[in-house]
Amino acid sequence: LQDNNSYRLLTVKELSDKLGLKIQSGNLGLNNVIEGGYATDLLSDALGYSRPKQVWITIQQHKNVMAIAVLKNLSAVILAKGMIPDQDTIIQSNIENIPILGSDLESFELIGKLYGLLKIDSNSSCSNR
Amino acid sequence: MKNIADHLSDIVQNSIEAEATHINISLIFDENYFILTIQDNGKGMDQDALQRAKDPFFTTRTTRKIGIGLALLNYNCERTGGSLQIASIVDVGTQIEAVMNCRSIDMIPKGDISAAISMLICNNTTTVFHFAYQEKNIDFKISSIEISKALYPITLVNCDARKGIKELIETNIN
Repeated sequence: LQDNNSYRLLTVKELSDKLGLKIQSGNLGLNNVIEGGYATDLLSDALGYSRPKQVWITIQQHKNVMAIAVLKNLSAVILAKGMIPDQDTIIQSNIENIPILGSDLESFELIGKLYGLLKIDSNSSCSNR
Repeated sequence: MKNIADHLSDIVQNSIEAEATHINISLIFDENYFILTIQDNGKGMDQDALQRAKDPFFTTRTTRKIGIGLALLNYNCERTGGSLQIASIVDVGTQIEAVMNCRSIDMIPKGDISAAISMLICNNTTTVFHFAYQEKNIDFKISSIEISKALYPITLVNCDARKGIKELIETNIN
């Protein structure tokens, strides 16, 4: 069901530029490659179901977010709705080189834009033939 | 770690890794609060380890650098307006007390507590477990010693024993 190859590969920096995100921390990880994303505010859900190289969209600011990002080899975290990461979350993001990006959009809108940007529509090349 | 049973099995694993031979597990549900207490006689933690125990980037494990169990339990407690207290003495043991506000909208569900307890008892047959459960008019206590005696000559590692223990706990705590 989940096809990794159907996502456009972008670096964290490219994604950040395209969506006008604010880089909060983890500058050394801006060249990490993003391959799809996962959206949830439940840490246990992210721990169970996110996959390596994904970008995680959440409103959680706690340091535990970074623990899960490291465990799951995520490429970056985006905090929606103008959320600012806790100070110790920022520090850990810098240590791990996993950037935290910020957006003022609410999760619903942000995820929609992100999906539009990353998803390669497998039917688009032949749908009009 | 999305319910109490998940946390319970996870945290007790710390006690087992700390070479505890006796583990007391108590769950109390009253009208407003849920209190989970786990006491062990394992090797304990020094002040430095104790202070960092709730930090997800602290672990005694050597295979990876993150210990997420206590960090996530602490997080789930705080989310409801509760807290997690950890006390420990080196070579004596450790006690954790997790308090959650049951009335909070962020309170996590119970999960399958009887499955978690029966699994712990049957997978760690050299450890003595005391399990206590209180809720409204339920006041249930059982120890793995009593269970072993009652089951004799069937041993705890037996698959039917686990089912039996699960059923016994289940009927007593519901």
